[in-house]
Parts: sequence; structure tokens; C-alpha cells
Amino acid sequence: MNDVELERRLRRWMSDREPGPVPMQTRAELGQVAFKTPIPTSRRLVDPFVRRVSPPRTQWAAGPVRAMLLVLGLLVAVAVAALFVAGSKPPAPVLETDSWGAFVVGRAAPPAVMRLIPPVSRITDDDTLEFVDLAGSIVVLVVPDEAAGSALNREIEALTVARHRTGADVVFLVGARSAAVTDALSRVAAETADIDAVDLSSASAVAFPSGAPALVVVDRQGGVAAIFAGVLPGADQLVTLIKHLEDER
Amino acid sequence: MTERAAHATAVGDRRSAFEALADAELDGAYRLAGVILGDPWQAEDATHDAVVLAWLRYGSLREADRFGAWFQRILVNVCRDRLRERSRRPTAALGEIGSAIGDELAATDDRIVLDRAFAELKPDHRVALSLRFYADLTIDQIADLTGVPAGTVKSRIHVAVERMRAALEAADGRRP
Repeated sequence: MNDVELERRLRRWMSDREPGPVPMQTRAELGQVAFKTPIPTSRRLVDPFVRRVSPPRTQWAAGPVRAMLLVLGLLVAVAVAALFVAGSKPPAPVLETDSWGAFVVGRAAPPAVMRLIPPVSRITDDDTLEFVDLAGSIVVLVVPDEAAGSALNREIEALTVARHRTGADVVFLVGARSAAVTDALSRVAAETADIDAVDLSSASAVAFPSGAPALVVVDRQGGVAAIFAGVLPGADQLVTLIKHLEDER
Repeated sequence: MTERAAHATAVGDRRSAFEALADAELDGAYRLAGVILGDPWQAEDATHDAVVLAWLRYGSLREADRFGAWFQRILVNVCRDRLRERSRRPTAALGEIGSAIGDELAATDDRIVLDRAFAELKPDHRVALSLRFYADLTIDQIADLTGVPAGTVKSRIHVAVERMRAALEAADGRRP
């Protein structure tokens, strides 16, 4: 089937699928929402301020003073927050590197499509997994060095310890960059509760650097929080990092 | 902006202005929610949730002229959350129900085939496909609306379209 024919059938199906106009009764009810739903006091106070300080998109170029004030305000807020945080929490662990392939600390995790290797501990819509599917969870992805069997055991051991010391909403994944370790990781998934194995080679749209092992931590918002490449953190360091991210919630 | 909304805005009647602005978007929102969710009752609930959320956040809207796009973003987020919640529930997926109806019947009707394939897509893929082929939005518009990079939108639409194509081709092959 060519693309034109497919698009024609999709559009026809969607136009059949849509339910038509809103029922009159619903429209009448929705018309009352603004008159029956009170606005919380906090919103009433904050929203006008946000609207006043932040100019509309069309006036961004005309409002440099406002923009500078906004940036200054944000810097002050960050500095004050940092003072509070520094006094109450242990410092964040030193990060090993800022980037690894398409993963960059501080940016959204790339749209990598990972194929789950059976057995699978989580219920998913299909046999593939993306970071966006795991939004709301902290994700730890370990990609072992294919050539080092003993190192693989050490990394899995650290991961297993970390798994037991962190909450159920932390997702642990071990990724295979090549078919050479797929069987080994499948065994790991079978033997280790709540650690899933994923194939990064077959279905991914994102290239994963080959060679040295790597560990990537993605936060609840889907941003890359930490990357270790070459030397991976031990269980204690990993747990500290995860707790730090959990505290930031 | 409609004349009624403009007048209400001019006289400082926020509730009436919101009611007029939202009313102009209701049909489009309900239809889009119906396409994404595949169920008129769910579409009504999603539209209702979107209107309430929009009202609560109305004070932060800077340009009334952008109400339509702003409201659509809220609606799409509500629909996506509903799909995610639905996919977490251990209930039979529409695809399984479709299977129960029978492959023979499915093979004769695009609607059944595509409903089933659509129900098996991930929530984000369903949203992207609906915005592209029903709402007729561009890749950049979908990226802006859903808050993800254009590359991610392209990838989602590609995956979704190929799965729909595979379902249709399989059904075509079974037809006499």
C-alpha cells in the first residue's frame, strides 16, 4: 500500500471515529464551570504577577528590561535555594562525565526505542520501551562492556544491591549494545527481581557508543541527571545519587 | 476571539470572557478527544477536565488570542494522562476485545482493523497520530503542543503509521 492510500484510509477512519459536536447537556454544564469553580487564593495572587513579569511572546523583543529583571530574580531565587539546600542535604556526588553519545546531563533523555528482552518484570503496552514511557520514575540504565565478563558481574552486583535499597518507583535497566551479551542479560533479568534487560541494538533510533561500560541516570522528569562512563559507581554511590534525586522531588 | 469574548474581556468580566472563549473550542476539543480516546463518554470527561484545568490556570494566560492553542495543549495532556492511566490498569485492551469479535469480521472493515491497531499503540504514539492526521497539525506544531523535540514527534508518527499500515495490509491479505 502506498503512502497516499494509507493516509487516505487513516484520515477517513479518523473522521468516522470522531464523535461529532458536544452534547447540549454537556455544553450547558461546561458553560457553568467558570461560575461554579472557585480559583484557589494562591493562584489568584501568583498568576497576575507571572503575567505581568513575563511579557507575551509577541513582545519578548520589546521587553529587555523585564527579561533582565526576570533573569536577576531567578538568579537570586536559585542562590537562596542553594543556601537552604547546602545546609540541609549532603552535596551531590561528583559526576563522572557530562555526556555519553546522545545523552547529555541536564537535557532530556534521547528518544531511544529499547526492545525488552524476556523475561520482563513490568507490564508494558508492547515489547518496546522509551524513557518517556517511564516518566515519573527514576531510571538507571547500565550498559556493560561486552568484552569483560567479570566486570559485568561486578556491575550487576552493584545494581542488585542498589535495587534492594531504593524504592519500587526506581526502574533498573541493563542494556545490550550487541547480540553478544543478550543471552547473558536475559539470564540476569531472570535471576534478578525487578531488573529488566533491554536490547539497544535492534530497535533503537539512537546510537550508543561502543566499548567502555556506562551508567545513565534519568530523573522523574525525563532529564539526564548523571552519566558515568568507563568507571561505574559502586552501590553506595549509586544509592546516594538516587536518594539525592528522590529528595529533589 | 469571538465578539462575545472580546466584549466580556473589555468590560473586565473574566468569567464571561472565559466561558465565551471555552465555548468556541468545545466542539473541536470534544471531537479531538473522541479520536484520541475512542470513546464518547471518555471524551466528554476529558473535555470537562480540560475546561476545569483551563479555568484554574486562566489567570496565567497572557494573550487571549492564543486561548485556542493553549486550551488544546491542556486537552491533549489530559487525554494522554487518561491513556497512560488506562494502559496501567489490568483490563482487557481494545485489541483483545477486537480479537474476540473475530478476525473474519475485522478483515472486512477498516474501522475495526484500525481501531484495534490504534488501541495497541503507546499513548504518545496515539496522540501524535491523531494530531497529525485528524487535527492536521505540522510536526513542529505537534512538537510545540506536546512539549517534545520535533525528532521525537517524527519518530512516534513513523512508528505509529507503520503499525497501522501493517494492520491494514494484514487485513487486506485476508479479504477475499
